[in-house]
Amino acid sequence: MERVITSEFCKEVGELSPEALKLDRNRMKFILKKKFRNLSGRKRLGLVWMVLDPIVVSLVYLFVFSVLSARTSIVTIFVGITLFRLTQNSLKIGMNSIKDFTGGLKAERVRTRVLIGSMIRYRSIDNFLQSFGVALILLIVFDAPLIGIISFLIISQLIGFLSEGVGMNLAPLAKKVPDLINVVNYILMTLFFASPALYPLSATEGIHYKLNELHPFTYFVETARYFLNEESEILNLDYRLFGFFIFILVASIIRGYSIIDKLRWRMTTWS
Amino acid sequence: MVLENSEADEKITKSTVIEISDFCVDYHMFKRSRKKPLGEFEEYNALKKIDINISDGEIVALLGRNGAGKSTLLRCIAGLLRPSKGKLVTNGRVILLAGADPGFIAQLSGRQNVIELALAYGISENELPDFIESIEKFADIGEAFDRKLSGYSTGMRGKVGFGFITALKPDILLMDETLGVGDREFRKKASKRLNEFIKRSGTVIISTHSLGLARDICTRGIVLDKGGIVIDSNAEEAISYYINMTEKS
Repeated sequence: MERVITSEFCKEVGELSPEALKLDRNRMKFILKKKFRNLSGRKRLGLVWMVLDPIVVSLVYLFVFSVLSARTSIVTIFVGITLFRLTQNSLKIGMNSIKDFTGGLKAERVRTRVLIGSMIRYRSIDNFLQSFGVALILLIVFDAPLIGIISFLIISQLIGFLSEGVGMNLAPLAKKVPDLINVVNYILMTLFFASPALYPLSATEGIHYKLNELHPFTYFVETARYFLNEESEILNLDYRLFGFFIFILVASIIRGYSIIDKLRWRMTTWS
Repeated sequence: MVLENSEADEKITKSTVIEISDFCVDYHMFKRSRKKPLGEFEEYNALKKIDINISDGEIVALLGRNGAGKSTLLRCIAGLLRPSKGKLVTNGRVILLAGADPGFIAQLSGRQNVIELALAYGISENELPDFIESIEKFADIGEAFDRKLSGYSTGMRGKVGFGFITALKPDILLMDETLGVGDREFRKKASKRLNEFIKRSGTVIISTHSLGLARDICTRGIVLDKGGIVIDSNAEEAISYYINMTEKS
């Protein structure tokens, strides 16, 4: 197959043969497995930690809240923390996506479609693993409604993909100015305590409430709580603003995936 | 390293498989200075105005001092580096042999690595048993082949990695100063395998400091200096030029 390389692109000419398509599928599988293997490493429980992590962190906060005698529902905390951690992790993965555009294969260039395919599959599995354990606990221990569980799993997928999309848009800037990673970490830390991750929006008032109305995370977490029959302000929030946030986030994920080819090419000479 | 006699000369030149025109590469490096304490990106010119056409079946030696731009050029041909100007067209599957790690996963055994990587490098399931056997036989690391790669020494890793890459079938093979691993016995074995690999590959570009290797197997020589081509001729002439150039300095 002919490959043309210029400063603008590195692309193959002509249609991909069935063999090339099969090779791409095998490469996606390889990259995906490699990513999960790197995550599980030598850990005895391996990927089970991805399921356990949001549960353990939620339990820690439940303990803290019991010490503080704060009256926040357990389901509210589980949902808030799981969704916030997904947001946080996906955003960071998106920002770091630029680090390895080889797919781990060092002797040959991998097509961009392979990288995008493996990224989408990874995100979907990661979202599921991080929300599945909590969903199971909500269903079995707290007798949550099935519609609430399904909504929670769908919102987890949505929030994971959308956050990664935002991260991917920030990635080129973070590569040029790595300080941005520190700034984003501080913002995320502030948002964790200031956004309705640990408490329902109804527990806030005044400027705190107003600021959270401008935070996209609020809309997702409050929607999940609403379907789980928990305290939720979603019906009192401006749905037009929610629509606007969804539009911006979807646009950013489309842009994020569509710039990968250009970005991976441009990054090759940056150090 | 001196390879055995090659039949490369007998290869019939068919068509151009690598076409490089007006090709420049600039690296962008972050630099902090007293005047600019927050730092800035500086451009560093690595290749300038390269024009090369390489035909099917040619074995080209790429010669030059350290930092002349040999590795940069190979990485560009492999599609791993972006030029700042110019155009490069390759025709066929390009494999870059730089080091001896095709992308190993430390948590897997040598055998598992070979199986998973083989599929990712386009080896079909029918070819897989022979492919594994050839690498196992070449690496000759006994029962360690079924042990986790994280427990391998650098030499053992290199043997499996080198065995793996040289078992592939590229149309265009790019070699960047390979064969730095293993003991004397292994190097001898590796030379033989490398020779077979070169014969099997359609077109080969070797970046090397080994003039013996260049003289023995290459049909053409290109000398790079400070990012530009200083001579593009037959292997013997290019080698003489390179020797003169390095002796003068």
